[in-house]
Amino acid sequence: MPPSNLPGQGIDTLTLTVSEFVGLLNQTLEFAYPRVSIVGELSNFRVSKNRWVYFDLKDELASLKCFGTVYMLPGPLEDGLLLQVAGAPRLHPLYGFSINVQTIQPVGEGSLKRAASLLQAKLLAEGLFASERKRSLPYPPRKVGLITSAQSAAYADFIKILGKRWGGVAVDLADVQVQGEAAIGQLVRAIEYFNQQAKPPEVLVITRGGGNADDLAAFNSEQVTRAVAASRVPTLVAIGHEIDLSLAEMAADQRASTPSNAAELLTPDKLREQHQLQLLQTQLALSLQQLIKAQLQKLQNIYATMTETLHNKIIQARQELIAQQQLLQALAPQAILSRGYAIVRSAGQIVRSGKQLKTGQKLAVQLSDATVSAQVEDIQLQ
Amino acid sequence: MTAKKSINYQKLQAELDELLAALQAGDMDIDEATNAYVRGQEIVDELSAYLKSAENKVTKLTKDFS
Repeated sequence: MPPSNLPGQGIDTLTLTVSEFVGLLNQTLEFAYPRVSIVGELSNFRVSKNRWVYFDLKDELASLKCFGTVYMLPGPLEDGLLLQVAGAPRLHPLYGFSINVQTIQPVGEGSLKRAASLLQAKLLAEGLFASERKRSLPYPPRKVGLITSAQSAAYADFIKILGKRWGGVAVDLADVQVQGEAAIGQLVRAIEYFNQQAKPPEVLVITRGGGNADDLAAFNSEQVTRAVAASRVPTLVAIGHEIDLSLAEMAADQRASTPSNAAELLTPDKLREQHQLQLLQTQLALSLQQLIKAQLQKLQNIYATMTETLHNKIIQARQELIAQQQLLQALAPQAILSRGYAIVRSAGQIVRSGKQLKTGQKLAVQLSDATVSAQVEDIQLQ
Repeated sequence: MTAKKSINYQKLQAELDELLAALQAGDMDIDEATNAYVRGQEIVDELSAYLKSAENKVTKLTKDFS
């Protein structure tokens, strides 16, 4: 039966079907409260079919039913956490009033820490923080992908220290929000953007200054932590001055304590490098000098050996010569004649045998100091 | 402004270390050693010039990540 919805009639006089009333109420709600943000304590949290999320949000006096999907969860949750839930109020035709949740953020230091601790345990179990996953960073890099807010002191500090320590680095800045509701999405998109480049940077530096737990919430979110862990480009995450590490830092290949410290970890100090280069230059020259000196010494040794060998040879030769001279002298005919021997010649020929001689034959007998003429008188052969 | 010539600092530094180690080992002949010294000096000059002149270049991406 159609409702009696005649002109001039007030809402209090309308008669509606249940469905019509629910539709009307939802239209009104959508117009009046398209999106509400409510803070309350989580209770009765449950996940159905790994997809749907149901929970109540309550305070001391009231309780609200909430409904959403697992995709908008910031990480593992448990009852008792204080949450800020944004969504649209709706009256379901069958299941009654609920908030259709769009975003959930833990709020308050205690809840943030508890949520981070739950998420940390989950990601730890998945191995996202394992030390064997850590890669070394280029030192120094030639191209850096910097993800931070261009307005932040963190950005200014990083660039200042980088310039002071080193030169020739190309820094591509992805200007993102590093806190607030949009931070998570922007950080994740920037990380993915750099990873998808044909020539990606050699390292991603994701940084921001210090802040309270709420300010740093994005760096404890599952999405950002997973994006850091999944990055093909090595990552350096630097969150300023915090005692507690954020999950994104734990998932990074390396962490730095401040944005300035990130620049220090990435680059050598050029003044120190210049000094070391001077030392190297001196060492180069010294090494060459030593090598030349060693070669000279080697040559001198060879020369000395050669000289000594030659000297020895000369001495040896001289000694041999003396010995030969002595032998020669000993064998010289004059020396033999001096000992009493004589050379007998006949007609100029040396007489070696008595058989060569005849009685009456004339001889010349050479002594050491004279030659005597003689004649053979008798021959007695032996 | 970046350095006029893009150099691989790490690679050159490693080459310089190798040259020095080879020279210090002392088993090079004089010709090799002289060549190593000349090359080492070239690298030192190149790296020094880089350290003195190179500046970083920051480019803000125009992409909107929101």
